[in-house]
Amino acid sequence: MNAAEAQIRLERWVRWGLILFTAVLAGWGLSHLEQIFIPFLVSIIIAYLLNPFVLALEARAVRRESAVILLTLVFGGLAAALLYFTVPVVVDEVTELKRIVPGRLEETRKTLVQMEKALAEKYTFLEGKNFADSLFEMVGERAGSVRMAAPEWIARHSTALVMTVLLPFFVFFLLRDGGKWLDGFFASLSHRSVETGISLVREFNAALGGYLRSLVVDAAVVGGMVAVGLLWIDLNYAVLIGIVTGIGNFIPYFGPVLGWGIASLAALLQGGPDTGWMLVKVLVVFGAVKTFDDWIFQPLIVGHGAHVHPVLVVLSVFVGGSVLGIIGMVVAVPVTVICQVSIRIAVERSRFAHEQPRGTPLPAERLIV
Amino acid sequence: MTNEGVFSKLLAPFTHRQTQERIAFLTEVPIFRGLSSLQAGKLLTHCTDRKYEAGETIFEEGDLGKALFVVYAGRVSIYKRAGGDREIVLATLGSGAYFGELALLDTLPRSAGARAAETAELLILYRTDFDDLVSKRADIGLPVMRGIAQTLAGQLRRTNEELAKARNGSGGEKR
Repeated sequence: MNAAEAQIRLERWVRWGLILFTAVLAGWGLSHLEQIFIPFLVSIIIAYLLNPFVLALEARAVRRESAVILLTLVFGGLAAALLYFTVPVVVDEVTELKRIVPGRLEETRKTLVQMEKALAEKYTFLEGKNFADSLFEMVGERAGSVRMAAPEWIARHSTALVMTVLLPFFVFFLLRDGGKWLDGFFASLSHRSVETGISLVREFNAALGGYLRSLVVDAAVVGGMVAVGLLWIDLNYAVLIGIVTGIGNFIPYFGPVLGWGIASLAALLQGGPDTGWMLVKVLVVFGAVKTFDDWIFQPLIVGHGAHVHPVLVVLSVFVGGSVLGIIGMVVAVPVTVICQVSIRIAVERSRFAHEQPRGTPLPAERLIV
Repeated sequence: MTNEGVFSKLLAPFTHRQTQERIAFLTEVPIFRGLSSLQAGKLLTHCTDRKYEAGETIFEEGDLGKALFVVYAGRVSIYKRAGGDREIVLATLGSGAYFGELALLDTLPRSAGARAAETAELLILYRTDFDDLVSKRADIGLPVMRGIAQTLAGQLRRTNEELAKARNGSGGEKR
């Protein structure tokens, strides 16, 4: 090995060492700074969603700053209108939930106590165990400890709350200056790396932007369909469950299961003689929404976003969840998309370096006229 | 007035003179000549802007080509290696010229190198963006593709003529 080769090998080791170090640092940052990371992640997602509108205005020679301000006003107004119409419904549903939960719990406790008594008459070893009361005592203690811990939780997450208020500012600056940061990055690259750099950024942008945009549209469609379906079957808290299912949809495959679980609980709380039938209807609504989403909507809309194999999606969500919890589950697929694009570009470059590319051979006497 | 006209009029107070100049410039570049201002504006949002200092290498012969370059300002030399450190300058391109268009069509190495002859500002259209335009905005992608094909056809005709002249000059057989 000559000196030049040794130098190249050393540079490669140093580069990979730096990449590994950055990845470890980023992992540590994610797990320790989640309060800052989540609002920032949400800002990036919103900026990604709005960027095509900014580009459409820029194509009409509108100054970027003006385009961002115009969009902030339009989408800010739309968001305010949406909140104006949905917040009262959600508040009503939460108030109603708070009002009926103690009564329903008491009813359930009484039913369980009666069942326990009936069982104890038949099976004497159950006599005096008071399982139902112990269970409800435990639930009460847990609820009490949650109430006690609430102020502490708010204090602990005050940074996140402040960051959430600052979210529109993050979005504004990301939209306004994102392009400048990229230009600065491209300008810092050597001529050998500039085309690969642009290639990486463009392909990350296309894959991630497509994925995030389709994810948000999918979440809105799934949440909306669940809310409409549950309203149709007369389930209480339909809008609230629709919103939770839509948000849960950001974690692939887990969102609908979470929504279905909550809707089933709501059906149980609603009570009445038709509880069993209501549970079946809830299952049918979620089954129909999931079927429509999987077979019609996703192939048409989400399929154009990012092409990640479903097995890889589930695997990445599990790995992300086990490493970083909920944040890990949310960022798992975008990170997988980035890895997938990086590997494809690395393979393309490696193939170019190791193989002599060939053009289409022409017959010796072929002349193009 | 069409909807587009009304929309443009509404946006007029927010427009940027420099961007308007760039859009007008793009519609004058031979391969983009068939595009309207709005289509050229869309194309511009797909381009990367980069400044090169005098003498700075843009790419070298043999590099993997991935983008088309349009000279917005300044001058660029296109050169070929001729053994050892010797280089032959094939052309010096000024504002409105473009090079590297083959990278939009194939994945072969660059057939020549490019270097800024003086401080130059280039608009770079990366192949991924071009492919995206062809598939999603055929009204922009296809005229550009036709422009590139026409340029290549013209160059091919010139090469054929030069080949014929060279064969005539050396007493070779005429075809």
